[in-house]
Amino acid sequence: MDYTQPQFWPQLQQLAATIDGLDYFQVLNLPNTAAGNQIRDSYYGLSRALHPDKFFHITDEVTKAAVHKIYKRVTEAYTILKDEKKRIKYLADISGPDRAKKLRFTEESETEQKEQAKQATKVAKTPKGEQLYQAALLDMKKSQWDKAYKGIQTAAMLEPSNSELKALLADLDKKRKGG
Amino acid sequence: MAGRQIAMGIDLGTSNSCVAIVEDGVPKVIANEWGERTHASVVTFLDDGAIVVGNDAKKHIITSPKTAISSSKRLIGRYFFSEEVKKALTVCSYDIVEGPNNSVRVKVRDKVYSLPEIAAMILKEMRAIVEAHVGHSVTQAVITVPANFNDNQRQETKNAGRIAGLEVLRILNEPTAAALAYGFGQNLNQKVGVYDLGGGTFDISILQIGEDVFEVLSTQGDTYLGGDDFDQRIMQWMLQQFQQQTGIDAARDRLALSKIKDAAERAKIELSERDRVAIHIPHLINDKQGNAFELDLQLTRSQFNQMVMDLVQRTFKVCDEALQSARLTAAEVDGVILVGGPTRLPIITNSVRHYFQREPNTDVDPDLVVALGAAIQADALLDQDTNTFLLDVTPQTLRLGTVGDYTEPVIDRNTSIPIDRTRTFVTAADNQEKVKIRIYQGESRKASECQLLGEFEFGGLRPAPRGMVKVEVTFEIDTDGLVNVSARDVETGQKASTTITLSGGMSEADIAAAQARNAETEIARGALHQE
Repeated sequence: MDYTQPQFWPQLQQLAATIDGLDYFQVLNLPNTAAGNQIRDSYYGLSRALHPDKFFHITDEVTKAAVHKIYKRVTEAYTILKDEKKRIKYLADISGPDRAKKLRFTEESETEQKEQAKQATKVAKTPKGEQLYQAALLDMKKSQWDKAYKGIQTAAMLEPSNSELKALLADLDKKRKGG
Repeated sequence: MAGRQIAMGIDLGTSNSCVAIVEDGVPKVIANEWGERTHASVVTFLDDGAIVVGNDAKKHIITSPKTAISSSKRLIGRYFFSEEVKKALTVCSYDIVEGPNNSVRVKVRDKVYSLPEIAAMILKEMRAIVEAHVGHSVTQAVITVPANFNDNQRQETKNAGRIAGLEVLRILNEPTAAALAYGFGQNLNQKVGVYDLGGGTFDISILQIGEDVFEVLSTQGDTYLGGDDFDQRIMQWMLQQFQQQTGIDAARDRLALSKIKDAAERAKIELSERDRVAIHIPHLINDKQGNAFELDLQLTRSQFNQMVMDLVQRTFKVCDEALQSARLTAAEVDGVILVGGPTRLPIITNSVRHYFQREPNTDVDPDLVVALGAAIQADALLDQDTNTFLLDVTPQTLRLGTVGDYTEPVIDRNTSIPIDRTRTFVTAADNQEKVKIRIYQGESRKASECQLLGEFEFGGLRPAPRGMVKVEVTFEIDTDGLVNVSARDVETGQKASTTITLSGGMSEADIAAAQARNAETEIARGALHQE
């Protein structure tokens, strides 16, 4: 089907307006069980039909914007689903009670996934140091520089050779002095 | 199709540029009136005020090194304080000065030019070549850039196009363009590696070609490694030999240095054909007493290979990373395409063959393939029945500045584009009016080790106690690989006003002024050919 034909434009605009309610499998027109080549084939098929380049020559800005929005979501769906680990995590997310909130693979889902990887590459090397570091991170989020500085200072004393803590300490020192 | 618009594909290279169009369905490189198909990316400002671009301009490098601007692509979109610019300061014979906002400018006599203005002169010449060929005005173009170019470099290249009065249809990655020229209309189903060693940059891209779809699986590059570096190695050796023989440091003399540079480049090219070259400069330099000294050396291919071995190895480290990112091994690649003049060097061809365990493809000319691909893409964009799709990736991780010198990734490198991601920010103070963010590109958690793209300020937030206003910021990477940032109030949906408060690039006013200057600038075409 040639979606660049004007009779399809209202349909495209409608899809763009409602795409936020679709999960990635729906965006790619695939069953939840799809994997591997199926995902790539669908991505290629949708690229042939909906790539913004195909609509380059049309002058209707509303349709162009709609196509752009849809296609960006197609790319996003492909990016997440082609990655085995992310696909499994995503499928669990959208099958759970928080489905509506987890239709887009969010920072949180990514953070959860990266937790394990992080364990291996902790900033602080000692359990106590790591505890202080985590607490300081929370303080930093709340812009409590003095508190964060003191925590990291203690952590740095526990681990004098840890250059990352040292660098962070210097940064925090600047911050608390209004830098 | 009669009367269809023509759009150019321009390969704006570090050393050479090339322009192509699609005529009657066939992509063709357009030669200038003197039969030249590649044109030195050199802009020379002659004493009489005339400006020359291309191979004619290059002829002046030796005699007027301060007014012949070469390899300017190495400087475009860079900050003055960057390592790359520091390096250029030591090797460039023309004057590089600092402009506003840490930008880089080139100074020729009493005039100062931005890098996009210099590039615009080259683009203007490319346009003139096409217009002379087709006999009418052509204003639309696809311009290629190294795949690893960051947002600043892409933006400034696009600005160069605008300054030259062009409508830039697309900023296209060079290796992707090459793959397109290679696979266009062939209905291939294979994985290809594009090994692109240009004058100043190295890129490797791994693509999956599925008939009409060209998907970039990964790309990796080094924006400061190219054929110029090979020349440098020969130059260093020549200077060293000369000093040993005569006790004179020729590097201190600009004229001598540019003669050496010219000879080094020619020796490198000759070594592709022969095992041994004679390098002879009859009158290199005078000593303090006025005695003339010549330079007379022999360079063998194996000596040269030793000089550049580490540079060659660096390219394969980059290849390793690209393959790893595409989750492939070198042996799983079905075809290898070579791009860029330096890939004609036997040491490169042999090393590539060895690395990928297959014969590199030789059907496409490494000097012309990028322009051809750009022309195909330009034509496809204008064609309503287009059936070629390029699915590219972003070469560098887009990052958000957090606390201190730290950043966190927002869009990872090698993510397919176009794409967007959103992040939500919550106000930290009562009645906070604005949110400020800094965005970067690079692979380090440290902001100071990444490239700053800009600082954005989102203003006009509604007055409310802290924590009550949520601002959703959308980071988009478009089909040009360019970054766009916008913000809205989550609750009201109101778009926030966006101001870029820090950016190394040109402002709209700068561009408009440069456009006017460029339109007035006359490129003296073919003056030397008529002599």
